[in-house]
Amino acid sequence: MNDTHMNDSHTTSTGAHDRHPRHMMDRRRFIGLSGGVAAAGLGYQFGMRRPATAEVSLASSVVPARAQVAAVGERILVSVQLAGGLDFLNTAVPLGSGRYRDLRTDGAISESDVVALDDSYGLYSMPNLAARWQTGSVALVHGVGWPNSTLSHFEAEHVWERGTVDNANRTGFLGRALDELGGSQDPMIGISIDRLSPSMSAPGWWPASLPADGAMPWTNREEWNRGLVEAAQMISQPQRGEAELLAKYRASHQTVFDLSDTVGAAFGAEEESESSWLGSQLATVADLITAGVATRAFHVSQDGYDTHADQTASLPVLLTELDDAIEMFFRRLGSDASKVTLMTWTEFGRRPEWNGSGTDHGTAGLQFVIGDAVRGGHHGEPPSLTRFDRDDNFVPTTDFQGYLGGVVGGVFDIDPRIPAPGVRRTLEVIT
Amino acid sequence: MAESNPANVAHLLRRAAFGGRPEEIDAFVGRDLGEVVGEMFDHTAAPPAGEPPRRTTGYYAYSDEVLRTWWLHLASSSPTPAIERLAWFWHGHFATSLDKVEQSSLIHRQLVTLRRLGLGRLDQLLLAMTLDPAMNRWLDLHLSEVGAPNENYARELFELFSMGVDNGYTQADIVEASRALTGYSLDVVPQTEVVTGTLLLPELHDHRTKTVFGSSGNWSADDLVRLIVERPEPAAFISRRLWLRYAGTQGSQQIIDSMADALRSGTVVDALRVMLTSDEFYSDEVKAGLVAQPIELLVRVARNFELPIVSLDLAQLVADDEDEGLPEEMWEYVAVNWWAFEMGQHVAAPPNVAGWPHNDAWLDASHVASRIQAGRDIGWFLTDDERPPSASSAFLREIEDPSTLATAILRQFGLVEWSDATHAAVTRAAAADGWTASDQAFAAAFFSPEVTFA
Repeated sequence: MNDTHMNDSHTTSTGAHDRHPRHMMDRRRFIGLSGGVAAAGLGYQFGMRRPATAEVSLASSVVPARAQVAAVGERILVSVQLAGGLDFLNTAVPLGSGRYRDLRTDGAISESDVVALDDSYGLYSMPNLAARWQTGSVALVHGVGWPNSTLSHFEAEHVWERGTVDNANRTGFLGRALDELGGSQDPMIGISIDRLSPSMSAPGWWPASLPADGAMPWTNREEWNRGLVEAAQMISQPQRGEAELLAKYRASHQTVFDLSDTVGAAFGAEEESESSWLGSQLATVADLITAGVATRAFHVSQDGYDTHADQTASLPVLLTELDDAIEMFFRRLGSDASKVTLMTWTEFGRRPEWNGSGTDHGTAGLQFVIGDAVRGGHHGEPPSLTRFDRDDNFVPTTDFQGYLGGVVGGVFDIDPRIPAPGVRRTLEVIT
Repeated sequence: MAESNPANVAHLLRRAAFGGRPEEIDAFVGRDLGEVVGEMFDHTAAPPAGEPPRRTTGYYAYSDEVLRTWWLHLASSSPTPAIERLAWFWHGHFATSLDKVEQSSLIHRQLVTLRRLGLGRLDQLLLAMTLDPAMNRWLDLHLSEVGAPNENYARELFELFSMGVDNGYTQADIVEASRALTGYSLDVVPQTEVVTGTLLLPELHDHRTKTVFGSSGNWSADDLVRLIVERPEPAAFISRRLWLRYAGTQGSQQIIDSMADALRSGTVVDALRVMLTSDEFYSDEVKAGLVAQPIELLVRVARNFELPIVSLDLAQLVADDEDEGLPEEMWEYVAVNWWAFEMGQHVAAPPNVAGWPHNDAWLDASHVASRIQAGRDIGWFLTDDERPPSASSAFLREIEDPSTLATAILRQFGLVEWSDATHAAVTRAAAADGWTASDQAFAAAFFSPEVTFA
């Protein structure tokens, strides 16, 4: 499912051999130019990023199919999932801590390899973010978790996506927020890249999802394609009394039309290909924002943080990718950067002790929040390095609901109980 | 037992055997369903799995593309598609990614093992996967040594592969199981780094007592598997997973219990026989309740419309290049692999160890868009003037009347019934541009609800 994109280097970021069938792109051109109705003149180049025609004014070419154009001055939230469980201890490294070195032994990061944020912590392998920290627009939120949390990725991920430990709740923290903002009238209020993240699951409707290259089948639909377009329009008509699966099917077909109309024109010419999968996703998000699409929340993800083994090699690669992608993203936004808040979420942190090659699942994750609307600095207490729970894991200090309620509630100026139904104390991380 | 009428047989073949060709459906109609299921899973009728030709004895014996083409050819040409479909289920269950494993021949080996042992007893399958070198590398088992065990494989063995999350085991069991699984190293040819198997190195194994499920001893892999399958949970968990992936719904307690009983005392095929002959499997709720995975759709198209990959001779794959894969001339075989990638399901590259997306996760806009595009691509491919049609797809170039064409296409997809709305849409796709656009008619059928849903 993560393979719907066209760019290079979508592998887990452990330096694995690039297995991408790049040469296949040439085959597409080959098949597109040979025979039959697949002749040149086809407006849509299947699957490839469409180069914009020269001098097109992106803002004016964006015509939303259904929704009103929202005031582009409204705040936008970009949610970055760090999948696998980021090891906070080797990311925000405690300075001058003998205890840290005892726990991590030969897996400990040396202080010469971090950029000091202050007297207490240094950031590993993220020099751009460390520089941005000095501007006061980066929040480090420590020890995020919940009591008796699970060590299962998938359970923990589900809890995060729902924004509650109540597993009867089928909606997501972003989905509920977007619903509050009126999203049921315009599914493009939320765009999830690559697949619709369950964090964007909404009550009775479905936000949009988009492959990272933005390719949509009905962009610039040509006259001679009319038959297929009409067929798709026919089957996308909602019908009364249909089961939910069919309703979602029809709604998604409709959203594909909407995306084709609004998104197709939003991509700039001559993309430099991004060097990482995360970079590609964030480049797409940046382009959509600068083109003025009426979207309030985006979801992207970076995989690979489950560093049970070989962490010394893999973690810095991941963090560099993350750092570079975030830096590129804000730069690419240009003057729109001030509207955007970027938040990360990861299902948990990792075990205090080094396992010889890496770290196993733990608790108490570290999250980042970045943007002009952010109260920069440390939030929440870093977990104690000496007092652990029954399973020898860190004790969380910040309720994840407070984090989600604080960020999502703050960015959208909505009740924090909407993203986080069980929140008791909201983290004051957004101005 | 359920009735073997056309709708039920078509449903059975769609769910359990990548769909059936019209004549295959006809052949099963009216027969005893238990016999039909027995025949579908008859391993003596299954062809050998085969292997792509190896270019070298080195690390990259063949490219990923060749590996995938091999499997797609097997699934598309096998006279026992139910066995291939079951292997696909196990591939998703013991989800392992080529991206990390790297050595394509290890994934080949894993797929062959899953195909063979996936029909049989659960303990044999679990043990084989615990000792499988691709799985080992994927979940870092070879890095787990006495004094420094890692929990990656042990956790997933309980959580994903045999029991279900927090279902009858504790964190302590995981820790102890990790110790039992220390020392399982990879056997590697030094000069080429080719992994040839798993090797238990006594000096890296923890020989002390471990306690799992309250039972203590100097356990290693086979003991651990035995302790697991002695528990009541695995048979029920695996039954639930089979039901989820084949039926799509929650499944009643009775059907899960019946399947679990069969699995506990017998084999996976015994459990499948219970499932696939039950009335519940043929209920309206089950029939309407599952979205077809991209690979299922593509293999169905390959089989029913006779794509070139069906007649691939494995020896042709020797033209493979380590970096470039197969040459352009072989595009007609490789195309299926490309469409699978386009639709978001690349063989041997599941998104993570939890396997493939399920059911409505395939219905978001992004995935629907990719199905529309793949349908268009396949439609063009099948009607390309520069390529002679197969016997099963020649009708696409011959039938002029749009409505007749629509019927023929839907029937060739292995459907025995469809809505007027779908027929009208496919007809419209054929007719709206002023000529009989059979490529568009095919594409419209491909994204119709009847084909989108399994």
